[in-house]
Amino acid sequence: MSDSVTELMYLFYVAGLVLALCLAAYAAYWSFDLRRALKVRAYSRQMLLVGSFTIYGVVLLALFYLVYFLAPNLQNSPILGFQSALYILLPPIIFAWLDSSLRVGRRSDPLLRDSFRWSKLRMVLWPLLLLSLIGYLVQGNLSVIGLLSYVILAVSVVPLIVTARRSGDRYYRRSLEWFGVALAAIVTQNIGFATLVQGLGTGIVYSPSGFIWAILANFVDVPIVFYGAYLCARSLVPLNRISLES
Amino acid sequence: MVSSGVPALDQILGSDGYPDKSAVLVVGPPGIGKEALGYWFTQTGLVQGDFCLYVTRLSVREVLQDVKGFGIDMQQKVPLWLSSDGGQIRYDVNDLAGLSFKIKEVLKQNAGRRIRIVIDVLSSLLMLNQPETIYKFLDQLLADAKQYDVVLLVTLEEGMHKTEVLAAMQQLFDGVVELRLYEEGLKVIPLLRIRKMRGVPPQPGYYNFAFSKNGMVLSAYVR
Repeated sequence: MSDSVTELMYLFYVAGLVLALCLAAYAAYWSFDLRRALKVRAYSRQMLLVGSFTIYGVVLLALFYLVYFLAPNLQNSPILGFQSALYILLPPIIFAWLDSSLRVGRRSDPLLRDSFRWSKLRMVLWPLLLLSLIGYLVQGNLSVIGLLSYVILAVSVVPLIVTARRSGDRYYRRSLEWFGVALAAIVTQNIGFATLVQGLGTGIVYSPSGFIWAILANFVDVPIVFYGAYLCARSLVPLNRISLES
Repeated sequence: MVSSGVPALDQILGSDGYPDKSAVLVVGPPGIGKEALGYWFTQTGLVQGDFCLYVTRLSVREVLQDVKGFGIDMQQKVPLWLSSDGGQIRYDVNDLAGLSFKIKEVLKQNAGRRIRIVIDVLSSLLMLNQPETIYKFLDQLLADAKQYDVVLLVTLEEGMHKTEVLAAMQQLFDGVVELRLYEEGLKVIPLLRIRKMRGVPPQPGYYNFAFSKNGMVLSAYVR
């Protein structure tokens, strides 16, 4: 592969990183600012989770770039282990976000319906999720037990969709739509990252398909995740502007 | 006059609080803390020996959790709860006539006392019924309530109903207190505004509000 193509790839990576970091910082800022303004625990918790997710994303992303691109010699250091441990936290963080969204959604249902008895179901899913992560940590690879966490996440999306349909709050529904966009981007970004990490070892990242995945994962997907998180936070409640007459 | 339970708000309203025999609507987006005005209003009433009725769409356990979150102590004296889950009196949110009957019964039983009623079920009722039906229901309920020494505080969610429905609801009430989030540059500011209040001159100003352990803190908003 020629030097100019490699340089172009690095340029894309850096541009993607800068864009993602800016969007993540903006999303975190709005989430925490809205959290300060919202006083009901369910809503402020929701904002806290969106903010925490973006900060987590920034740390994860920064470590990824550090280990794989900026300082590859660190791949044998404990930083790689820390980065892997952080990566394992992705399912519980998303699940906490999902759980919180469901609890907010129930409050906006005029009949206060507990979709799929979520208040009880979550008591089962949380320990299962944590168990699957412990299993993943012990086994050290993404085995069946590790995949369970992703199955739990996929299953939990169903009550969320039902809750959204039952909710009478159009702002909540819009916020969930953006949550869905962020979630979809996380899924595709994970596939892209997997290809990228695998490719770094085998060299297929420099093949045309690896190149496209890498760009999609870093330059397009990651910013979409954070932009989705930003709009998810911002659209949860109506924001007004003071008119000049006032 | 009946104290709102928030000294700073009483001051804005002319030092004594809400007018006697009045119905006040508190409008705001979900999560902003409208209910807290209801909690302080109830707590102050309980301390002053008024009869307090709290009509809620949430379970009593959830309301008490919220109350605790605002640092309000409602352990010693409790209002009469009218709730679909956990209250002394149960109601079905789909049964408007039943709800109206139960509130009127409580009013009759406590005639002669000063009564404070907080209703936080209006948004649910509006989502389950035609706005015209709720308009008539409220109109009748407020007319009946005014035969007694009652001050009613009703909360309504912004963002769940059409603008014209919100405007129509506001017409029914003697007072409207608005709690909203405003965007100013890169900041979100929660502001309170008295849209109208019977016996109080129109107030165009906005007030910054915050919640502390001692209650709600209000200060005039300057851009």
